[in-house]
Amino acid sequence: MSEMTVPTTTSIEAAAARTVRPRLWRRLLHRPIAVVALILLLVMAGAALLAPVLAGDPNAFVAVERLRPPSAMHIFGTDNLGRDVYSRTVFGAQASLTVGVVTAAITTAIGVVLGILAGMFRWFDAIVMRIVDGVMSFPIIVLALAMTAILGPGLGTVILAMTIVFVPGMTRVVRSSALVASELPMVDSARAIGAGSVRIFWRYILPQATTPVLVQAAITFTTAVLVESALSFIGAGLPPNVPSWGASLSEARSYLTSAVWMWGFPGLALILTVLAMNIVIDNVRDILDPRAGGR
Amino acid sequence: MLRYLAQRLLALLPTVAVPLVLVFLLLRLAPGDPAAILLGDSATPDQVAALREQLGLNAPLWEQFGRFLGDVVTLRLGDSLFLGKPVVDVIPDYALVTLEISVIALIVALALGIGLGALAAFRNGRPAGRVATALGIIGISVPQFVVALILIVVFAAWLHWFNVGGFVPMSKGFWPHLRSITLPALSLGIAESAFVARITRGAILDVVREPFVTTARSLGVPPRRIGAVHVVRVAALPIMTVAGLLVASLLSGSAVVETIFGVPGMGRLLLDAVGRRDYSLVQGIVLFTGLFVIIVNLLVDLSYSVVDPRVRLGRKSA
Amino acid sequence: MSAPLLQVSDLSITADTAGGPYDAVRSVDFALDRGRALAVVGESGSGKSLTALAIAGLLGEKLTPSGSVRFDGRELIGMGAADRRAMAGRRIGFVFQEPMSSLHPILTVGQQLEEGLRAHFDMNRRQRADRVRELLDIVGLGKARDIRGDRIGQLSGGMRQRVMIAMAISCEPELVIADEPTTALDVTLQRQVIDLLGSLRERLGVALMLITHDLGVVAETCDEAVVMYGGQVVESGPTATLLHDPAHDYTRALLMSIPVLGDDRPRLPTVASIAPWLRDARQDAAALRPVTELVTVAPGHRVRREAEGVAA
Repeated sequence: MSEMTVPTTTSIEAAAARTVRPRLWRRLLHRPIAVVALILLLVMAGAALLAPVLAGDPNAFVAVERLRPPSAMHIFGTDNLGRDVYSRTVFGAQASLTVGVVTAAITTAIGVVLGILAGMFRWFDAIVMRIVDGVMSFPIIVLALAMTAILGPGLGTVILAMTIVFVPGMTRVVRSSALVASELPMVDSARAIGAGSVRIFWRYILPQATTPVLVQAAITFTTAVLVESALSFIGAGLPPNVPSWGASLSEARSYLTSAVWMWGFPGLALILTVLAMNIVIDNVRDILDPRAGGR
Repeated sequence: MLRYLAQRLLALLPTVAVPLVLVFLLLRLAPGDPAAILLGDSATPDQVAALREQLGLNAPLWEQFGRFLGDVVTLRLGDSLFLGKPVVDVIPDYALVTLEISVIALIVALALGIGLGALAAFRNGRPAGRVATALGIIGISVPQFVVALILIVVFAAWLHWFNVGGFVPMSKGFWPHLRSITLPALSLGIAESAFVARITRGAILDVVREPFVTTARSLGVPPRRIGAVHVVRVAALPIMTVAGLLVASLLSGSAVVETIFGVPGMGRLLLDAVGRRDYSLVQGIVLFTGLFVIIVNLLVDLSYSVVDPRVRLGRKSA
Repeated sequence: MSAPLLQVSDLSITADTAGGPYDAVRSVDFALDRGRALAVVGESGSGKSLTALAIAGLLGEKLTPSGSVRFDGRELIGMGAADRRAMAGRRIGFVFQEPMSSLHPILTVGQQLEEGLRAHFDMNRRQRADRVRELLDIVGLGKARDIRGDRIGQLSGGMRQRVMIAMAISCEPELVIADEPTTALDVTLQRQVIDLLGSLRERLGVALMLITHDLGVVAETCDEAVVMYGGQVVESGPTATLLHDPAHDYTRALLMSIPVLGDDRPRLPTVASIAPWLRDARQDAAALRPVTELVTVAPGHRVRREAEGVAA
């Protein structure tokens, strides 16, 4: 039975669903703090993408120029080896943001698959969710370090460890979205007019899950950036020649008061990036919350 | 009640099982011979072969796993490669230090976090509330180690109230010991308090909107009592739910903080073990950490069921 | 003739919405004498619940009442919070519509019933316990098992509503406002709750203000009724008059829309079919609304009519 002859309920629902996303954007852009945060994220993303264009070699050092405060030549100053802090900060953005985005992407991919399977099949749900929940409560840095011991340090190990601990969160979000969506009356009515499972999945369940998944992906991103910086700080993260923010902060430990710029700028960049993303996440959640009257 | 705890224990078993299985698998799946890895570079082929026999590495994987489980349960965790002592002898002292710091940090996080969160909720929209809310979101954006660095700059370098590094064990005096762990514990606690504050704020704001609060008002119950009795009981639940996550975060952070302050805790031990490829020790620490998390989660669940007896009753109500 | 217990004059409630201020309730007048029962009837969105909440002082932050509400001679609008609290429960009791969400999920029944007592009386533990037992008896929950230690989740719907009523009368108020007490219940439970409210009136002499959309309930329990539509009173008077000789189109429509056995009408009337001009009464822009006024057509019977001599 062709859906062309179906009464208007489904098309109205579909039309309504289509308008949620643009409405969200418009409302988001009306909030000044959110706009500032978005701009900040764009700046960071720009730095990450265009690092070679914006700054010189982060590993190039001039020994006599050690520990110089910010100046015209080095706008963020130089570090203890004579390297340009600005350059290291910009390339640090590239390193940290890449780790964040890649981790978020992989976590989302795996989490979505697991979550949908869990939502659709009870047996899968029962087995997998138990295991998945257990992993969630294990301290991530401990796990990352343990894996580093066996697999060796490096980007892959870090991303693998983080993915293992972050996937449960995403799985739960997708699973609950799928469960909620499948209970919606419009799914019943779709079934009643003969819509098959695949169509129901694509047209009804998946759209419901999109925004929660995006929010969770953003949260995963921020956590990944924070964890990576912590691991790099203690030397168990990215390889030493990669200028991540965490590594820069670690190098500044002996110069906390004598060369504030050495850890101040990377630190600020790190905090601002995470803060900006958190602000956007908060605002999006606020807008989507059915409760009016602002929190 | 006992059944409830048993259920919860069962649910938490993966928390220790999964990392342990992971470590088990990785050791055997990673490049190189596990026995050779365990013994280190200086081992002779004979020693390696002997260890292979001893560990049953020639047996099929399932058999190995069975032996592994047996060893874990009986705490036969092998010897630390570099310290030369059995793992189970090495860990407890370090674990105690980490436990100490974590407990203090937890108390700080809860006290500061709940206070800040309640302030943000009850003064929502007003200046004090806005500041508190802002502190919350900024707080979760600052990594624990940056908080530690800031505290060092302010309290050690600037004010000279504390020293950095120079951990003093309890045996050398209570107060010196306390002083040496104050900054580490504070760093962790303050960093986590922001998270607690946000959860608290959200929980209270949610509850205050509930109809039963209006009912209390309709009876003339004074606001203070509404907050202390009616709101708190319900708002406490989400806070307790995250207590488990909080502990995981604290244990994670302690690895970093112990490194910064030179505190001989489990986190630093792990870092050293990783650096020296002391696998038995790594394995043991993973096990201990998992147990830690389970115990704390059980304690939290216990208090949860005290605050909300419906959980204990198995929700046959509603 | 003594002054009415409750005198509402020109009560308006403005809501602070995202699109600007909205007058949800406009210029409501009615009175209720001691020991009498008044029904406030209307459909969803007519403003009847807001009116009740305004009288009880329970409006949310974004709602501002204006006008006059006199309770036993005292002006409630603008009263300080402390004075309001002293009256809440003690002089005005409130029965909420949905007992499942209006009762505390974790505190026990006994604990909740004591809350009003704690707020207004200086009783010791034994006295409070006695009073709680008494209250449960009054609402008919005394003979079955002792539910004081139960949580509301363990009770049935009917029991929960009775607990709600017990709480409302716990401090012996002079006025009980019941907001759709029967709406969430099935028919047999409705009967029980109506009977209970009726018997409470007799035993305790409380005045009852019953918010409802069920005309059957109105007919059985209330001496007078106020019909609201679009935030305004459109008719008020003795129940018998309103039911048998309604003067306003809307009241007539309400009555006509009750299906009866043997009804062979193809469609039930709606506001649009009976009195199209009423829809204009709910326009957001004040200028687009028809100008109306309350006119007394008989002693105690008032009707809203379009004002004379004003061009539409």
